Amino acid sequence: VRSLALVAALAATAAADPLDEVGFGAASAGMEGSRRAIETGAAAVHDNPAGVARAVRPEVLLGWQYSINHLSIDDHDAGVVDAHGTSIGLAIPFAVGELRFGAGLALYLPDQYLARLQLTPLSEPHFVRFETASQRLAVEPVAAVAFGDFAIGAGASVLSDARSNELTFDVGLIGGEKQGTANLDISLPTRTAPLVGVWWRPSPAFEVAGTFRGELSLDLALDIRANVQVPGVVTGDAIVSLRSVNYYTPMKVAVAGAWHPRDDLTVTGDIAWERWSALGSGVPDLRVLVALDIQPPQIGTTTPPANFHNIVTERAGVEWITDWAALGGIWRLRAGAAHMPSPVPAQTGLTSFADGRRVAVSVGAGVRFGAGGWLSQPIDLDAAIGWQHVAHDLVHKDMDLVPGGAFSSGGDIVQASVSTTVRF
Amino acid sequence: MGIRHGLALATLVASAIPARASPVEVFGLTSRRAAQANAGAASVDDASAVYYDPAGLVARPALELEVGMLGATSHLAVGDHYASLSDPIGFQLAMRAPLPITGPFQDRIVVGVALHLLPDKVARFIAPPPDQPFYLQYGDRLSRIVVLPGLALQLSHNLAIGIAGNVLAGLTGSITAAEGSTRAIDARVDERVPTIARAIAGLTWQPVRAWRAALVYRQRFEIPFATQSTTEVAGEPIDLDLSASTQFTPDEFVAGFAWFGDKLTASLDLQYSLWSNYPGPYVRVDSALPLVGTVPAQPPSVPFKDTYAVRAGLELEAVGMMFRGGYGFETSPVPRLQRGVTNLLDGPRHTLAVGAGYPFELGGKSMRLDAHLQLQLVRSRLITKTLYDGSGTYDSFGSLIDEDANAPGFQTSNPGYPTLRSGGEVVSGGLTLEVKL
Repeated sequence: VRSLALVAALAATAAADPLDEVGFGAASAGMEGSRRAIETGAAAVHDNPAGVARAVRPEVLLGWQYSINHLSIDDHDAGVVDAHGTSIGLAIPFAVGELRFGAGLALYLPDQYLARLQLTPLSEPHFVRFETASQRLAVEPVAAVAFGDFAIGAGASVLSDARSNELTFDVGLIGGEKQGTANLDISLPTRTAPLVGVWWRPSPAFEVAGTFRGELSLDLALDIRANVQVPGVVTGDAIVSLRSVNYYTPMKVAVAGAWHPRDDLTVTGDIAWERWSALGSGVPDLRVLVALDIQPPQIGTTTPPANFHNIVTERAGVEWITDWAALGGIWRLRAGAAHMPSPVPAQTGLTSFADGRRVAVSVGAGVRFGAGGWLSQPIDLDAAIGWQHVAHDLVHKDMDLVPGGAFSSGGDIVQASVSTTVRF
Repeated sequence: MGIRHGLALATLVASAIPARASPVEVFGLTSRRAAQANAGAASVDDASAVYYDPAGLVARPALELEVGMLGATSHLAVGDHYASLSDPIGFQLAMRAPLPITGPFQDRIVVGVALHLLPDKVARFIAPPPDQPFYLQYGDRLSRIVVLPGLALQLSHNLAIGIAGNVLAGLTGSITAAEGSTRAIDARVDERVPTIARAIAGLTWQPVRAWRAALVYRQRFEIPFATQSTTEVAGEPIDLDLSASTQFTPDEFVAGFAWFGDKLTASLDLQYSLWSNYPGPYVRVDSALPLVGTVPAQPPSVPFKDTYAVRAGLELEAVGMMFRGGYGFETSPVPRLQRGVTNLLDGPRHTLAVGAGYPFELGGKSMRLDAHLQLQLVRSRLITKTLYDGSGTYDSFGSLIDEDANAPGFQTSNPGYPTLRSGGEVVSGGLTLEVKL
């Protein structure tokens, strides 16, 4: 019996939090995610947990968003599927004396899958941060406390691994006939990353906030084993073993501010640092161990480190409030812009991660229908559209490693979202 | 008895899957309902209605939150040994709220959600080999979170309807690997975690104040697992296509009746479950292996039986507290006679439950702390194997075959040979705090 181990290099998937990509609620999307310092209630669960304690009533946010991806590689469609899903937020505030407490939950449910693990060969150009960026579930339970003009909140971003405890196929001779039986034990253990947020209002005209989110990923570990015991023919094992890190979401530290020059006008800014360098090699592997009576035809390969860079993203937004009684309520008009550099280094070697610097702009509007008439509590309706441009990039490979190799990438992403916030 | 059987007995303890069960379906959602042996399709009037009867969400509409925990332990026999629960602790959260509207629809549209969460995992899917002793009702059904969002509408003063979802995820996909242009393996993986959502629908009719009737339908629920591994090494295929249905719950139909007195509420539920449609807990495999070729791995066909259940519960208000009790009985879907390769352990179940609730005020909010204890008795069964006599076509469910005809005596590795005894008790308990917000 001979054995053989084969190692295959696959490209990992790396992505920002899906709620960062699509925005949690249309108000956030309409200001390019720059509402960290002003968000309250259910919408604050993801942006800044501290804001949950600032809710006045229990409230639920329900939203839906759609991203149309026009991304190309070598001037051909890159095959990045459109992403769409539902956002659900919940905030339950209560007070004990001067202290105000809040508990909240943010959910993002992609329409197609709760998650999709898509790994392509390393040398095949593909958009490493977009292929499945918005195709995963997000679950974020939080709690917060507020006192006067200060609030602090904490929680977790929850995800799960997928791991085979046992995945075995036994082949043997029973009654002279080849027979097989299988055994499956798959576990989805929980993984969490911490979420922390603070909010402070030093004066009626200014609000500041800071948030921290830990690193998170979905690790896949599948070991499929075939035990073969056919006397006189072959005896041994064949093992297909897959390890991959998916949806790598880097540690993120953000600071934000809001300025209210007038009662009806808010200007926001947001700067975030994302630690992409911790991705490590970023290269999962598939191993095939064959301990059957066949010749070893191949050997394993090693894979280079990802060497991603840490990045700083900048976001800004503006919101104008006006009471258009003729249109039935208080309206909010919003706009935002963002600049997001790429963490991916020049792909001159074996790997071919496509990515590019992004600029994004968005506009949005919302209306609040006040209590009275058929409503016992106010209801918000919001909508937003946004456009992201991924800079065109032409990569020439190192002549020593990949002679003559080159690929180009770039494109645009159009996003639309609607949401409503209902208070009880 | 041959040598292989001796080895099988020695490894029985290790191979017996620890007992696990579906948390909400088996042990109940909230202490109030669990204390009544999970009876109450017609009497349910709180957030737990998303499971028992979604139409009940709109009975006594209020903004409320329920938070609790559940624990369980087992004394279930696997031969001379006992199986233990691997996920005995769970946390429960339920909430409902009437939509904030006035006028004719005020308090007539209510939304709710209920969750059962595990401390360390989202789910665990188990499909055992056919000969492994396995408690079907407790198998892997405790080892998953439960997510139940729901909505109810009061159609008229005595008629309400509701619908809820039973939501989780599966795992399907493919792994393909073959020699690439550089002699290294080119591999491609596409594993998907699709959303699985099934419906729970309920209808409630209250012709008079003292009586209410309910009809509930819970759609069949299962988690698919499928992975297609296609590998080629030195021109030889190593293909393993595995698929299984785990976390199975059949289509269920429930008729519920409730009587409301001044201080006493009585509930009676009758349930019919379509277990006969169950494909079985085993893994199906299509394979091609080097030198071996294709190997069939068709799991045995088990004639599962539809089940009947009856549950009754009482809730009494006295001395400023709530006292509860209940009894339930359910037949088993597993055939009593398993003469062949399978060792599915189960039996008719009796459920006894008691509990109490203490209402109080805190911070200006009405609250109630509920506690319960529940005992499930799985009737004892003895599995006895039959040896294949060579006549007719061999049916792996009907008898055992000699695994090595060249050796003297009957050779089998089946841990249920010659007999295997099952049955025992499962005890669960829990606390729930209800807060009117």
